[in-house]
Amino acid sequence: MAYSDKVLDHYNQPRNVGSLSKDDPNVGTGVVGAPECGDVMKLQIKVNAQGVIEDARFKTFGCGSAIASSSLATEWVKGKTVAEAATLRNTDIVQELNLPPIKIHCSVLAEDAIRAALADYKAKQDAATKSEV
Amino acid sequence: MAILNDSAVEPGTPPAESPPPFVVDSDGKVDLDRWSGPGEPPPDAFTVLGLPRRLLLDPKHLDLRFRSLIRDLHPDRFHVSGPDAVRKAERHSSLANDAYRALRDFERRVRLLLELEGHAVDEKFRPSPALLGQVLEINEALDALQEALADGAPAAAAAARGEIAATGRELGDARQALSDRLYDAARRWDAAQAPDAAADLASLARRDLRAALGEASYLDNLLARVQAALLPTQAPTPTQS
Repeated sequence: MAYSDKVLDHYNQPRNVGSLSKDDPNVGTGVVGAPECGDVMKLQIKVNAQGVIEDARFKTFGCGSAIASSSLATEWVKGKTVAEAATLRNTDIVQELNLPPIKIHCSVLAEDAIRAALADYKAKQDAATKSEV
Repeated sequence: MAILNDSAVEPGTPPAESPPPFVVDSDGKVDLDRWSGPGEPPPDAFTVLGLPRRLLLDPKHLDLRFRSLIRDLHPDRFHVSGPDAVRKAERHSSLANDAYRALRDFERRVRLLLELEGHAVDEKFRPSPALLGQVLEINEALDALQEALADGAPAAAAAARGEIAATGRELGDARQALSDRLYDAARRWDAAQAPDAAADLASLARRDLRAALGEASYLDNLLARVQAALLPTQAPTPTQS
């Protein structure tokens, strides 16, 4: 099955490729992998004092749909609050990118990556608050 | 059978009540009508070689069983009985060969036995965050290597290869630890086959076996990519002389 134009667009010009400092307490890192094909996806968010995601980066090793899904995910979470980002669903990605059924797991991976990044950010913040007390 | 009496009792030696090989009848005679060929589902490898369904087999015992069976089934012995008998002997010989190949390798044997017991391994392994981190590192180093080779930067290529090799060694260690886990679970599965063993021991061991095998395939795929990247591929392929 051919890739949709939107997938090709993100694949050819991926947004927000790269890395943020893993050790920054305001950066949450999520690394997830697909058991089916060995794809691996790293998604990072940088959250400011107001709880808004001011930057997002990704690095994905996998098929075009996996790259497009994570590229789109970083675009979407930028400017959102942590709480808003948590409501993002893989079905939104499927719709936007017109993913065929066999590529739905790519969008699931992107959703998992966002959740993992949010969870990592939260864990870091909790640890920081605890050490301050 | 003489083989059973002769073999030293070692850990993993099948119990003395091993059935005779499939093709041998109760009088110890070779019966070439046991399997009528591809139209009929072939007996499983354990049945063919006359071994109990256990995961830890003494390899020496397995070899002896196989060699003795192959000797008994050698088509040359059946020339006197006519071409039909030779054909049947060939059929059963190939069955014995397949069975031996299926059982000789420990991990292949585990997969086969789980399949026979109706618990085929699904390969949906969920890698741990630590392993995913290593997968990411390897992928990044593989990309860096590609780039360095394309740019003709030997120092950068060597650095990337070094990184790939280092992570590869870590993965190799993890693979070794996994083999140990598999052997441990196999021992527990075998022990759980005793008539008086608690029922949940077998299912626990089976769960561990399936999990370890799923992880093993994942690691093997990764290690294959690492090895392929470390091969000196950029040298021009010598022409066959």
